[in-house]
Amino acid sequence: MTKKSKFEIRKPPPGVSQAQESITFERLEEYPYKSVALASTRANLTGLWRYWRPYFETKRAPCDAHCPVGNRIVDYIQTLLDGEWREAATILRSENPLPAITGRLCHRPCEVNCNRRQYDERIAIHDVESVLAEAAYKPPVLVGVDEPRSVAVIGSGAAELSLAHFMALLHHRVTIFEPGDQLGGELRYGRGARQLPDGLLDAEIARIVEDRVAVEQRKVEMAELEEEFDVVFGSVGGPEHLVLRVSGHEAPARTWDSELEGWLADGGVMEGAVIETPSLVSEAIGYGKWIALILDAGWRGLDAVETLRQIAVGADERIVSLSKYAALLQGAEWNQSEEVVGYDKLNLDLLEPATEVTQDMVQRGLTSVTSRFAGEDDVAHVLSEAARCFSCGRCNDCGNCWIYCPDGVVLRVDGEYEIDYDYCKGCRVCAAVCPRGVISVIEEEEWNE
Amino acid sequence: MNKTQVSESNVTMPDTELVSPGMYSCPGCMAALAMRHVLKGMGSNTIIALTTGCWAVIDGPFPYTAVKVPLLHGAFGTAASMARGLRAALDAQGKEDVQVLAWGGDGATFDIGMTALSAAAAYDEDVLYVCYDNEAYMNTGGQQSTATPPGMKTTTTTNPDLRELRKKDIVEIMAAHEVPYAATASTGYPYDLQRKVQEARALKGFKFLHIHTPCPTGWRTSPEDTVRIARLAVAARLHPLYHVRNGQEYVIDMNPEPIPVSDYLAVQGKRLMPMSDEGVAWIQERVDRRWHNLVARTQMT
Amino acid sequence: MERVIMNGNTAAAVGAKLARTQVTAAYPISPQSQIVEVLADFVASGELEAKFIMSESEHSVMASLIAASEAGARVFTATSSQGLALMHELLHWASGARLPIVMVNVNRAMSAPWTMFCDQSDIIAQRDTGWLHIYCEQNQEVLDSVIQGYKVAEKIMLPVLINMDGFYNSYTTEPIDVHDIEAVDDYLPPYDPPVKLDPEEPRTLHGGTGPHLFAEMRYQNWEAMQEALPLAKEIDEEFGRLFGASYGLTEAYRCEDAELILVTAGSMVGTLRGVVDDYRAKGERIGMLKIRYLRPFPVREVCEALKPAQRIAVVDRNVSVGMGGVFWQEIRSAAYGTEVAKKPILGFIAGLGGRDVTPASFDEIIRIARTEPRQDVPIWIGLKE
Repeated sequence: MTKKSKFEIRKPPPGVSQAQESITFERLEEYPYKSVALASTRANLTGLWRYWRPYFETKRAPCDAHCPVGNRIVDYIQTLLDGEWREAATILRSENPLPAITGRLCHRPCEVNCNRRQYDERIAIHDVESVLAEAAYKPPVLVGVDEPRSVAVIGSGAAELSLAHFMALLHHRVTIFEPGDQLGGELRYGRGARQLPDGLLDAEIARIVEDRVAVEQRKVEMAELEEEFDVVFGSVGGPEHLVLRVSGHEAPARTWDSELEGWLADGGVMEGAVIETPSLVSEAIGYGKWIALILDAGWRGLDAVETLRQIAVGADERIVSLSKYAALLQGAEWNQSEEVVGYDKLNLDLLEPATEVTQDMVQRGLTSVTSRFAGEDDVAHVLSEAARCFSCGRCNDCGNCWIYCPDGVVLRVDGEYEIDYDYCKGCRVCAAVCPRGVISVIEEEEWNE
Repeated sequence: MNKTQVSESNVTMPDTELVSPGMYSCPGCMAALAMRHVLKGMGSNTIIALTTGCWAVIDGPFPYTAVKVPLLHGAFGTAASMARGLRAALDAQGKEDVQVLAWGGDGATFDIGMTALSAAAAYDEDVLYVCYDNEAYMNTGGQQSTATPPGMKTTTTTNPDLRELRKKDIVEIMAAHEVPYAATASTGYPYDLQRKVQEARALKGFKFLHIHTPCPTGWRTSPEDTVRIARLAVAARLHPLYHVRNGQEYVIDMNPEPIPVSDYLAVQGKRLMPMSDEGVAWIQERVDRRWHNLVARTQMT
Repeated sequence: MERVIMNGNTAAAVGAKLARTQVTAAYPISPQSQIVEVLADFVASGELEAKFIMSESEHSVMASLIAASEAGARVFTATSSQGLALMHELLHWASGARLPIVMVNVNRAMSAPWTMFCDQSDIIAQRDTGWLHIYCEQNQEVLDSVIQGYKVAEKIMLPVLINMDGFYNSYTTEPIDVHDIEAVDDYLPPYDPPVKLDPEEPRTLHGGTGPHLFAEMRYQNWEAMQEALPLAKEIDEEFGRLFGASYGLTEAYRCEDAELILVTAGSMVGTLRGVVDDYRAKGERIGMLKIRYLRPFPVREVCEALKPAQRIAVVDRNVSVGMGGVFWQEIRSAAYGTEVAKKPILGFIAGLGGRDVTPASFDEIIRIARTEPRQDVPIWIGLKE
């Protein structure tokens, strides 16, 4: 059948639609008179091509993974580099109650393991910590367990202060029994004490004690305290021994190591780590934190092993994170992986240009850091060290994934990144150009299962 | 603070995306990345004259398109001649501010469109011509072009003697036309590419960009390695990053730590011909000589 | 209106000037080069406000004009033979892209053997490219057809090829009426395409397509070309009212009672006109049908005009080797199934490569046409034994 010819210049509708719409011409009248585009290629869902699926996953930097206190070092460094000093200080102090001390006295496993050390020079993390310790911060607010417990802390060295701090944070009733004139233990009288400027230790202790922790300056015996307190912790019989005693019937239901099982068998007495020199002060702080969080978890009816698995930092279950614990208590998901980004996982030939430290940035730091223990030079130094941090495993908005994605499907809004999976073809260029190992790759099939 | 606004040599990477996703490029396609970045630099007041090649397919079939600026598909080899027509028509209508971007692959530029390119350059037409170079006729399956470098097999390679392929130095050809601006660029160095696009855009007259765009499909390499391969090509000095103004003033833009040609050849995947040590040495010697000449030209007054 | 002595090349350029063409792309080839030289003068002096692209090949000429037309400019160029052939792929492109490009072709034989002289083989080879084809008899018609060409092209959005014979038209001077440009403006409004390349409204043109969409797109070209038939007639009549000259799609000259009608196109028409008058003066009933539009082919008009004849002779200045002259084939094909097909339609090949077709040539054609039986091969005129 011959079609009757009817001439018409069929003008296309104005513009090219950016909607995801498929266009089919069913009748002649629907065709434009010349081959012009009517819609964008958004109709073509190239996400269906994908075999490999890239995804953003924050991982653990080696500094964090080796910090005995469970610090979130990369987090606070990148946050302060962004100019958010208060937030950075908050991160620091939520994990470490004595940063001004550790900044000066810690044996710095973070720096030993810093990836930058294999590139040129390690980041002087201890300096960052010391200066950030002087910045204004907001103490974290946690929801306490229904029935707060009573905690007696004998002595006031690093481990004791740490445990006292975290117990108080978790709303338990803490009393420190210090036989000496002043609080601080080895921190005041030990070898490292000379390195601390005058008044620094007092300031730190004051922050812990504030009006949350009761202090009784007298000598006590364990027996005296057992009746009255649910938990007794501290140096009994000298600074070499840390003892933990928890009321027997409230011991956690499961144990995580043979030490603790022994403790149960003995009716709740455990010999802990021995603090001998101030250089292991961070381990002492980490230890006190660990005990506090595990006991608190037990009192909430949580399983100790499971809890430790969820709040550990790096591979070591004795290093715990308050941030992770807080998330756990709120029922919030912690999407970050404990996979450690070693030097071999970095793509340093694609490193972005370094952040330039400006006067503005220094001035901004000085509005937060107002104590006599850190001045303008310190702030400037800390910023230039922070600028050198590779931000291993943590996105720092370098933009490489956004820049190099051939299809422009790595979306970037205000420093937040997202992959448009409707169109991502799974080429994995983004993963290859991330200098710091933030983008992981999984088989699409595996993801779907 | 958005860190990509931190400049490298005062280059701002514009935020606007002038390409849509869903385009028909292979995963890892550097030609797609090249267009994305060139359009960022050129802005929306641009008309593209596109000749046959990978990008004619990447942009999508009628009635779809991947770009958000006007684009004219044309017959093979006509990117430069279409660009001249666009320029004339725009100027005749008083639209001298509209940018004209001619876009062609290596086949379209080095081979079939060579005469048109030469005329546009010789007449100093106010357009930017971008050649995206994947070193063969990739859209039709990978046949040899005069941009195929020594040692790289194609589907129409009959002679295993790698000396037969010399890869025309297209930027030098443009320099011989004394065009205001001719430059090499690489998708492995997007900041450098961006700076060059923005510089070219600000100039009047004929500008030429030779962008090296490794092709995972054609070179039989893994898509995720493409950026690294692009950067290795620059480090091996097979695609040095430089620009020349008016055929006279040469500047080397980026000079990464050099690597021997063999390091680059090692990542070439299945397109590499079997090659003897003499062959590799011959390639290295050419690369060295070309680099030496380039450095000498930068020192000409 | 001014009467000026000029040759066909100049007339073509003047036509483009009066039509206010905005972009021209140029490449020299004999016998056309003068057209682009005259245009260059017009542009240089400012008489024509246009952009002049000096191209490096005819292929680039057409590529540039396609792009310029897509960007909204009225465009023009001229070429011949080898140059026309060099742009062949783009002729298809231009019509498929629905671009109202007007091009003047100065007919020159296709080489080899290499020659510069006139025949229709160059344009015949482009017959199927989807352009409108006009064959001019004389130089006024060239100038007028350029102007008419734009009017019809821009209405149906198809390109127009206007032919004049190399040397016979291109280099022959005649008195030409150069119309007032304001009068032409009234007839031919500025070019305003329905779709054009413009960053204000971005569009992509001519992305690849497949079997599911191509046929309808091509069908729209068919529709437009069908519309071209009545439209070309209409605008030609309008032109006649305004400027005093109209040419029609064909011209039947003294055919109403002709026993023998000769059919031809181009400058041979002018010679044949005189021959027909001579024979008529002797009482012999000879008629002439001038084919002006080969595409679209005015089937009905041609068949009507040929009805009175008892015999028909088609004179081709071209040959499709293996079949015969192309006008001969077109006429026979148009006549199929009509009364006209019952009459002997003979095909004659004359004037190839610029060999002069004189009144004596037509004498021979008429003598043979009157007596030769119907045959399926063409008859060659003026060939050495």
